[in-house]
Amino acid sequence: MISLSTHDLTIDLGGRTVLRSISFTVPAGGITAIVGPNGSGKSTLLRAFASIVQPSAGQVRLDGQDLRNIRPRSRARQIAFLRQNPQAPEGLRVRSLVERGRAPHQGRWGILSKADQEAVDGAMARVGIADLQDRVVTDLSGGQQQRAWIAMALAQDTAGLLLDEPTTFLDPAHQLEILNLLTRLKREDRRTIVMVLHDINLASVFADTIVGVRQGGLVFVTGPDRQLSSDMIQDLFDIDMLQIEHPTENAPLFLSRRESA
Amino acid sequence: MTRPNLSLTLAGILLCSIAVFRLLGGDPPIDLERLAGADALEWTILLQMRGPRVFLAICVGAALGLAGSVLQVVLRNPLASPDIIGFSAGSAAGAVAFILVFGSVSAAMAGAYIGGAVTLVFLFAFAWRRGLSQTSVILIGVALSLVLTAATDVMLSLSPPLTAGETALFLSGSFAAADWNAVALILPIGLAGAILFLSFSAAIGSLELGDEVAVGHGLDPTRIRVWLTGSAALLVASATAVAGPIPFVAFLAGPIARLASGRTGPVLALSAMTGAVLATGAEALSTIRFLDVGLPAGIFTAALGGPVMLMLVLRSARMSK
Repeated sequence: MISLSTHDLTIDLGGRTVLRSISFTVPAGGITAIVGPNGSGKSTLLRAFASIVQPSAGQVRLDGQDLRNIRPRSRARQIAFLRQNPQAPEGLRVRSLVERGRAPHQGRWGILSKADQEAVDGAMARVGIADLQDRVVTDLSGGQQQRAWIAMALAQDTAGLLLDEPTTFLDPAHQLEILNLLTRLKREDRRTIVMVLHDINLASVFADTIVGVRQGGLVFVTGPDRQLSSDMIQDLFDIDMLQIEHPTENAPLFLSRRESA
Repeated sequence: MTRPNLSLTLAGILLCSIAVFRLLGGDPPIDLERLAGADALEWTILLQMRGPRVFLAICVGAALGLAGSVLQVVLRNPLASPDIIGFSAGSAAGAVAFILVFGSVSAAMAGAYIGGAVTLVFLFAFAWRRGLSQTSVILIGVALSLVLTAATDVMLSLSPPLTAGETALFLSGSFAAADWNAVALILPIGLAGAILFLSFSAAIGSLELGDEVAVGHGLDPTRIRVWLTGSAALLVASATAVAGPIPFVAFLAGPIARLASGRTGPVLALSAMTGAVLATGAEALSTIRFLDVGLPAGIFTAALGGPVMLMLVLRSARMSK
């Protein structure tokens, strides 16, 4: 298991402060969901963990070490990042996509060893796309494409998995499929998963920790002893939602209300 | 046989057929039996005239094919080939400037390298926003290409008549002046380029999926782009130095190779082979006299490349609607 944390993390992008002095620790071996309004900086926070964006001040640490002092290749063997709505090049086949997840393990000539091939087969089997491996990625349904990309991230064989809105643009059945898959990866492989989620109720049911981000600042962090509440939703989104208990899961749900007449 | 291997084999057969046809056919045809007799004339034709031309066409075509295919993948745009984003125009402008200043076509070689290098520096300088964004590279490259072509035309009109004729011939791209020295220049550079591109195989595969994927795989997209763009410019400058600008070979090789093999990415071996087939084919056509004039090889690649480029632009315009 790996530990990820931020320490007074501030990020400026294009002259604007997107994240301001964020400090928190991602629980190892759990699923963490980052939620918040559009433009709140939640994607930036995820991207900071992947070293896609660099801190202007403060640090991101991997196992206690500043991410900037870790060699990129070594980081890429510990953390995989999947961006929002990734686009495959025209004509690329599923297997070929998943193989590219081996890049941090391969030599520069791009030759796949037997271990690489096994990791690719394993990753495809894991997400249930082994029978699609010779298909062209862009010919597949949204859910299948997303699973192919997740398989690429799995083939990278990392203890940490960062996903930016992995369920957006998917129908409810495919959303559920992806989130159940991530839950299995957490339970069976003890992977540490951090994702940006839009849907507050999916986050409530599937995440062990929920991080609320608004205007570049941390609003709340939930945990085993602190459940999400309608007050937190109010603070985060400025909306009044009705809180109920999930009948079968130990998680609160939030229902929208119509504007009163 | 898999489709990539099949297309590679077919391209190989095609290339060999063109080469054999060019070496032994033509006017005068070479009788194999007379070669056995070590007759001086046949060997001279083969070794001093046709051999260098055919080999030079193979090397130049392969170098252009590699450079074009890699650039198209790395900049994620089929229009991002060196003959469209200014490398060919830059090398040609440099060559013409040197011919004008030194008064001899033999100065073209050094000029092509310097012109290519200067173009590369300008392209990097103008397009360097957050590390060579691919769209700005293409737009600025096209603009540079137009400026350089105009500059070449101005220099051509300033040239004394005798030099102007030779310069114009150089500019249309031709293997007619080939000798083994030219082959000795382009062959090692082409091989070095191929090895360098091969060594970036894994990196190109990640970069093809986007800069963020490449960073996530522990790579530095800017560094990869600088290396590959620089190498492509060197290959194109070398090709232009020995044969003048042969238009559209770099542009066509990659898309044809990807279409034939059904694969994505730079498909290096097949792109090199396709480039070689295009160049040798154009060279073979240039030896046939139409209306009693021999046209330079570059005219034939331009005749094929122009319409294909138009098709690609129209297609991408339709798709973006």
